[in-house]
Amino acid sequence: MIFALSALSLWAQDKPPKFSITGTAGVSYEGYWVSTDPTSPSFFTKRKPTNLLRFTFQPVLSFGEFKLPFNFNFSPMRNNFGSPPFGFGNLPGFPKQTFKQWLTNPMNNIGVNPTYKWAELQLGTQYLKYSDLSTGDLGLFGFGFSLRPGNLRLKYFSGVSQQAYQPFVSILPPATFVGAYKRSFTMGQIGFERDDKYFAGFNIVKSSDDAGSITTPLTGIPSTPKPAENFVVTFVTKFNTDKGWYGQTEFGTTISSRDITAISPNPLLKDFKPFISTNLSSFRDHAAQAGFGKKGKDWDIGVSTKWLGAGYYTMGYSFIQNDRLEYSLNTRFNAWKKKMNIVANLGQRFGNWSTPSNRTRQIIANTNIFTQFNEHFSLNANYNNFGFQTPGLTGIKNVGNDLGVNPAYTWSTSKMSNFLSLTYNWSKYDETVFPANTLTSNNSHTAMLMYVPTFFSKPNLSTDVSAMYFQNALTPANTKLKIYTLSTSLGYRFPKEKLNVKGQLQYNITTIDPFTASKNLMATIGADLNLTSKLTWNTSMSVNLFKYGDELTPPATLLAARYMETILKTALLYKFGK
Amino acid sequence: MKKRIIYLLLISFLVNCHLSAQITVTVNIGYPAPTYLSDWNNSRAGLATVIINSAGQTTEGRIKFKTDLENSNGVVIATSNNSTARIYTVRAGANTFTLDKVLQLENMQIFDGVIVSKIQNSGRLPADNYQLCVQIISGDNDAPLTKVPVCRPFTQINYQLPYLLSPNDKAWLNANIAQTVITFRWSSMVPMSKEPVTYRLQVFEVLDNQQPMQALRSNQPILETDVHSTTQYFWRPQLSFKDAHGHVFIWTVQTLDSKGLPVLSTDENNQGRSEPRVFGVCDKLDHEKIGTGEDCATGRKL
Repeated sequence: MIFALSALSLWAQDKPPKFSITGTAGVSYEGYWVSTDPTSPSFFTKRKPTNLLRFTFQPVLSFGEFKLPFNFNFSPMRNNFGSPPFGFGNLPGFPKQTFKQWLTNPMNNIGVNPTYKWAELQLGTQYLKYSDLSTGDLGLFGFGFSLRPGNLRLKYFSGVSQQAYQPFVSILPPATFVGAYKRSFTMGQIGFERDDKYFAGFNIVKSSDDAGSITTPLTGIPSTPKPAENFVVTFVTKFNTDKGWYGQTEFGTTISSRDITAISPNPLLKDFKPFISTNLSSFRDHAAQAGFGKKGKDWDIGVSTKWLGAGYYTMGYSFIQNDRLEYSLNTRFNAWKKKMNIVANLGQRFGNWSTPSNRTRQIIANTNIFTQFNEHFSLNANYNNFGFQTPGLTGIKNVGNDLGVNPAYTWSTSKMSNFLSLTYNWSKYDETVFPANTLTSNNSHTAMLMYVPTFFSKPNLSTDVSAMYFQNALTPANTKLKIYTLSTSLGYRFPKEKLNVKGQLQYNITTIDPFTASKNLMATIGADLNLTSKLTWNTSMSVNLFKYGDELTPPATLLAARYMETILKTALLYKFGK
Repeated sequence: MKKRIIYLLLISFLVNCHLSAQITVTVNIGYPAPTYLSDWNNSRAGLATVIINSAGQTTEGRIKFKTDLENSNGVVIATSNNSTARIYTVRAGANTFTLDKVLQLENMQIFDGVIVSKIQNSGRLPADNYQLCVQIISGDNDAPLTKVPVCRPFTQINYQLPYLLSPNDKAWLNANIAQTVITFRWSSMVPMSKEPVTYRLQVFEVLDNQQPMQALRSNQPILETDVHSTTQYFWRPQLSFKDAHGHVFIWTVQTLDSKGLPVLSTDENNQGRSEPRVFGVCDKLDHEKIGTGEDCATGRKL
C-alpha cells in the first residue's frame, strides 16, 4: 500500500500539483530480555514487555482543498497498567482482548480526519481537547465533526474511551481485577472565533458508564467501581491584540453521579434535564481559570489563576485534582543586549481549599537565568523552590530548595575546538515522615563535568566524555547515598554509505549506607541507515549489567546478585512525499 | 368494624411489645468513614445488624430506622423523617443492613446550611467527627422498638492525594545527569493517615507518536516501586538517554492504604493515582527554550 501510494504520488508529480502525499509510515520493534543470577529467589522485576511491535501509518493525502490525513498507530500487544486491565492482562486464564477492546485500547490510534475547506470529519480515535476544564486528555473512538465556516465554530463528537472489562479473580497467583464499565462520551462546542484574535464559546460534555456492561460486579473487598455519570458545561474566552495583550478565561460547572444505580431523586440537588438526572450520589460544583498578560519583542509577563471546587470533576480529565486554588506570576525577558535570558515564575497553590483546617499551602518559585557573556563563555543558573505545608503543630512539611549553576567554556586551536561544561546542583528537601511525624532533611549535591572535543580534520566524528558525582545525605538517620558515574559516547557519520553509527559506555558505582557498593555497566551501540532517500532503518542495542553489593542480603544467596538487561530496538520508517 | 380495628391495633401493639423486648441493633462504621456519602452502601464502609431474639418463634416484623446525625459538639445536625422512612421486614435472627439504609440520606432533614452546601457540592460531609444515632421504630405506627438509640461516633476524613512536586511539570532534564539519577518528590497524602500508606511511584515512557496520557494508560511502567514513610525516590534509570530526539516520560504516584487498596478518589477507575506530570530528558538542552515545553533538538513538545 505504501509503495502504491508512493507511485501515485510520483505519477502525480508530472501533473499540476493537485494531488500530493506527505507523512510517514513504519514499523518498530523493541525486544527486552532479562537474566538474573541467582534465578531464585526473585529480586528483579522486568520493567518492559518482552516484545513490543508497533505499526505507524500516517500519510496525508491532499487533493486540492481536500485532505485525508490518516493516523494509524497500533500494536497487537496489551500492556495496560494505567487503564483496564491494570496490568492483570497477562494473568493465566485472563480473557484475550476482543476486537472492540483492541480498537479502544489507548495503545492504538485508528483515526481518519477527512477535511474539505472548513469542514472536518473526525472518525475513529481522536484526542480532543476542547478546553482545560471540559475535555479532555483521553483518546476516544467514535465519530464527529469540526466545522469552521467564517467565524462560527461548531464541533461534535461521540465516542468510547473504554470498553467493558469483566472482573477476574485469579487463585494462582492470587489477584483480583475488579473490572471496569464501558465508558462513553458525547461532546459539543459552539463558539465564534477569529484566528489568532479571539474566541468565545460553550463546551458541553456528557459522559457515562454503561451500568449493564458488567454482568457480575464484585461487591466485596475490593469491589468493582460503581458506574458513574458526568455532565460538564464551560464557557471559554480567549483574545490576542496587535499590541501584545493576551488573555483567556474559562468558567465551568459539573454535575456528577458516582453511582448511576443509586436511589433518586436527590432532595438536595435537582435534575438538569435533558442533560443529566441526579440521584443520591450526585453533586455539583464549579471551577474557573483566567490568565492575562502582555508580551513584547523581548519580554513576556502574565498572571494566571485557577480554582477548582471540591466536587468539580470531569471524566475527560479524570486525574485532575480538585478542591484547589492556585495563582502565579510568569515572566520571560531578554536583557543586557539580549545576552541574558531570564525565565521566572512565582506563585502559590492551595489544596483542600474547602477545608481550612487541612488546607495545604505550596509556594512555587522558579528562576532560570542564562547568560552568554561572549562567544567562549556562558553561564546558566537556576533556582527552584517549592514549599508544601499544612497548618498546625502536627502539620505536614515538604519543602524543597534547588540551586543549580552551569558554566560552559568553548575554545579552539588550529586543529580542534573544545567544549567544557560544569554542572553543579544543590538540593535540600525537608519532609515530615510517618509514623512519628518527625522532620527529616535531605541534602543532595550533584557535580558533573563534561568535555566535548571536535576535530576539524574529522568532521564526521563526534565524541564526549563526562564524569559525575551525586550524594544525598539524610538526617537525622545519617545515611548517605553516593553515585559515581563515568560516561563516554562516540559517533561517526559515513556520508557515502548514508550511515550514522554511535555508541555509549557508562559505568556507575553506587554506595548506600551501610551496604557495600553496587556496580553497573551499560553499553549501547546503534546505527541509522538511509536505505533510500525515503526509507530509513534505525537500530540500537543496549546491554545493562548490574551487580549488587550486600544490600539484598539476607538471604546470603543474594550477596553480589546480578542481573543483565538487553534491549534491542529496530525501526523502519518510510517518508512520503518529496 | 370498630371491633376489628381495635383487635388489629391490639395485635400490632402486642407484636411491637414482643419485638421491643427482643430487638437489639449494632452499628459498625469503618475508620475512616467512606469519603463519599454514596459509598455508605458498600460493605467496606461498615454494617448495621438488627438481631431479633424470638425465643424459638418464627417472628417477622416491620421496622424503620430513626436516625440522627450529630456533630462533634453533640448537636443534632440532621434527622430522619419517620413518616417517610423506608419500611424493612426483619426476621428472627440477625438482619444485616448496609449503612446507606441506616443513614437514609434520601429521607434526612439537614438543619445545617453549611453541611447542605458541602453535600451538594462534593457529595461528602465536611471533614470532622460525627455521631450516628439509630433507633428501631415500628414500621406500622412509629412506636420505638428499642428503648434508647444506639450511637456510634465516626470520623470523616477527606483525603487529598499527593501532589507531584519534582521534576516540575513539562521540565526538560539534562541527559548527562538524568542517565545517572532522577529525583522524584511528591507531597504527602493530606491529612496524614494514622495508618501507614504506601506510595507506588510509576514512570511511563512516552513512545513516539504517543500522547502522554496514552502512554500512562497503555504502557508498562518503566519504573514501578513502592515507597514507604517518605515522599522521595532516587531513580537510577540505567537507560541510554543520549539520543538526539530526547525522551519523554509521564509519572504518577498511586496511594495505597494499609490494606494495600487504592485510596478512593473522585474517579475510582484511577485507582488512587495522583494527577500525573510530564518531563523530558534532552541531550542538548537549549537554555532559551527552558520553560517553553519544547525540545531543543526536534521540537518535540512536552
